[in-house]
Amino acid sequence: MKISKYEFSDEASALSKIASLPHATDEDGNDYATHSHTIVKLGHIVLEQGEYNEEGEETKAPVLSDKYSVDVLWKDLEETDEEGNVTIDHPYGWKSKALDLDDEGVHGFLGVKYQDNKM
Amino acid sequence: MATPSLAMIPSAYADSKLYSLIPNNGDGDFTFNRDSSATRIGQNGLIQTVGYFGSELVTNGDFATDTDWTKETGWTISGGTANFSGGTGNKAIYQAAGITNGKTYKIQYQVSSISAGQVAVRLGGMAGVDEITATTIGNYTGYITATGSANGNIHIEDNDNNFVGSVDNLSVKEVLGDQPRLNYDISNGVVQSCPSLLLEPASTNLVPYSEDFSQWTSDTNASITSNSIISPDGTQNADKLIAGSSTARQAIKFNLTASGDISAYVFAKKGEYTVIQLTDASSPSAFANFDLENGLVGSTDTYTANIENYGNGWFKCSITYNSVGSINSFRLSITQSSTSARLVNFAGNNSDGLYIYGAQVEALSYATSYIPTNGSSQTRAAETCFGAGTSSTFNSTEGVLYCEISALSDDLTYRLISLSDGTSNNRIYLGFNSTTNTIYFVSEAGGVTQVLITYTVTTLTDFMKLAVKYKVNDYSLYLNGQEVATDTLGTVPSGLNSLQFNSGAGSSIFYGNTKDVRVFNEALTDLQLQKLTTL
Repeated sequence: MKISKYEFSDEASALSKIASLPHATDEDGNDYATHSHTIVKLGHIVLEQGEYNEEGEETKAPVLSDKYSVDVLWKDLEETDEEGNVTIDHPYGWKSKALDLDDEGVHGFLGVKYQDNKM
Repeated sequence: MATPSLAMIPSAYADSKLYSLIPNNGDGDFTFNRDSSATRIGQNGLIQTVGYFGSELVTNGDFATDTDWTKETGWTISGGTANFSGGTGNKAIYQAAGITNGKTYKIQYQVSSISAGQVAVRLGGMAGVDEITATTIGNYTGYITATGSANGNIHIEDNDNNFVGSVDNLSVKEVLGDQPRLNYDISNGVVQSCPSLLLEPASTNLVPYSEDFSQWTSDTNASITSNSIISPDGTQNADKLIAGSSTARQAIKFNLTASGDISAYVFAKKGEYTVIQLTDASSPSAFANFDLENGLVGSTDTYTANIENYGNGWFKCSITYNSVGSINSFRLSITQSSTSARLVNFAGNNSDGLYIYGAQVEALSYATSYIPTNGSSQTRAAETCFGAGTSSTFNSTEGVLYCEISALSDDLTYRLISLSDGTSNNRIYLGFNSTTNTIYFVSEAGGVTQVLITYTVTTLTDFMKLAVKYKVNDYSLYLNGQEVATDTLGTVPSGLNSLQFNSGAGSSIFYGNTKDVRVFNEALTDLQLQKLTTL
C-alpha cells in the first residue's frame, strides 16, 4: 500500500489518467473500477481562504491553485521480476505528476500516514 | 428447519477476514478489505476506531520527563531525548508496552543526533531477530511481528557497543489492518444487542478539524472551551460552545468549498442551552434547529433534518440537501428556541452553552459513519467482502439464499449479494437496484437471464428479511414472512462456488448493513421460508 499526491494541469487531464486505470462495464451498463486503489479528487485546492459577509456571501474570492490535485492510496502495485526482486512504481503516466511533500498535506487517508507510505 | 451450508452471522473477525459460523473449516470465511481506518459503534455504545493502527503503546515516548523508562548503564533522559554515550554490553533503555505475541507493531522513532555507532529499536526478548537500526540522523519506521520470545517490552539499544547519540519520539502501535466493522445500532439511546456488518463506500470528511472546535472561527460572539465533557467516543474531548455576552450571533463557522449533494452532522448535548442550529451559506434561508432536550427536529428550511439519540444525552444532528452554490461557511449556532429563525442575534453570559463533538460534512447524498479529522480532511477507503465458500459448499441444482439486510440510503445504486461461479455468467443475486425503494432479484445461467424480479417496498433503510428459492421452474422471493413474487419458468445457474457482497463479478458492491446471510442447499418449503423470513 502506497500513498501519492499528484497535481495535474487541469481536471480533464486528471480524469483522463484516472480513466486509464483498469475498469469495466457491468451488466447494467455502469462503469466500475476493477482495481482496488482509492482515488480522491481534491480539485483546485484553496491556497488562501476567501472572505465572506455575515450572510456567508463571498466578499473576497478564495485563491485556488491553478493545478488540479488528486490523492491516491495505491494497492497491489508491487511487481516481482524473474530474480525475485520486488519493485513498486507509479502506474504509467502518473510519475511526472507526483509531488513529494514534507508534511501530510491538506488531505489524508484515515489512519494511514502519507509520510510513512509515500512512494 | 434444514441446516444451512453456509451461515454468516456477524460475530468474529480477524485482519482481512470475516468468519462464518458454518462451515467452520475456513471454507465459509469471507475475505475483507478496507485500506484505511474507520469507526463503528461498539458494544458499549461508544464510537471506536477499527483498523488500521491501534492506540499509542509507549508512555513518555518524547522523553519529556525522566520517568517511565528503565535505563541500563550509560543511558540518560535529558533535554527531551534519550541519550547514550558509548559503552559495552549492548545496554538498553526500555519499558513495558503490552506487546503481545503474534501481533504486528508499527514502530517509529527519531535519531536526533549521532556521532558514532548504531542504535536499534526492537521488541524485548527478540534481540537479533528483528530490529530497526539507524546510523544517521533521521526518522525511522518499521514493522515487527512479536514472536514467542517477546517479553512485552520495547527496547532502544546501543547495537554495536559504540553508539553515541540521542533518540526521540518513539511510537509503537499495533497494526490492526483492514478489519471488518461489526456495528451496534443505537435505537432511542439504547445499544442493540446484535451487531451488523457495516460496509460503506469511500467517503471524505471535508471538515479539517472535526473535534477541535477551537480551530473554527467565532461568528461572531461565541467561544469554545475545549475538552469539557465525555464525548460519544468515551473520552473527555467534547467541547463546550458558549454564548458570549454581546447581542450577536452565537455561532462558530468553518469555511468549506463544496456543492451538490451534501450531508453534514454534529453530535450535540444540551448544556444550559438546549437547541443547536446548523446552517451554511449556500442559501440565505437554509437552516435546521435541533431540540437536545426532547430529541426532536425543530424548525427547518431547505434541509432534510434528522436527530438520533446516541445515549448519555448525546444526539446526532444531521442534515442533507443539494447545494447549488458553495456552502462557504458551515455554522454551528446556539439558538434559544427550537422554533427560532435562522441566525438570530442574542446575548449570553460568557458561561452558558451546549456541548459539541464530531462534525462531519460529506459530498454525498447520505451521511456515513464518523471520520475523525485533526488538521486535514480525511478519507475512509471503500470496503469489500467476498469469496466465501467453494464448489463443495453450494448446490447448483436447488437452494435458498437468505439475508437480513438494510440499505444505508435509497441512493438509487445497485447493491447486491450474490451466489455465483465467480463470473457474471452463472449467478443468483439479490439486493437493491437503481429504482427507488426496490428489491432486485436475478438468476442467470450460462450468461442468459432466467428470472428477474423487482419488488417495491416503503423503505430500504429498515432491516428486512429476504429469501430467494431457486430450482428449475420454481423460483420465489420472500420478504418479511410473505411470498411476494414467483417465477415458474427458468433453469438454474451451474458451478456456484462463491458467496460475495457484490454482483458476483466484482461490480455493484453491497454497501449496507447485514445481520445474517445463509445459503441452504435445498429448496425450503413455503412454511420454512415464511418462518425464516418472519421479523
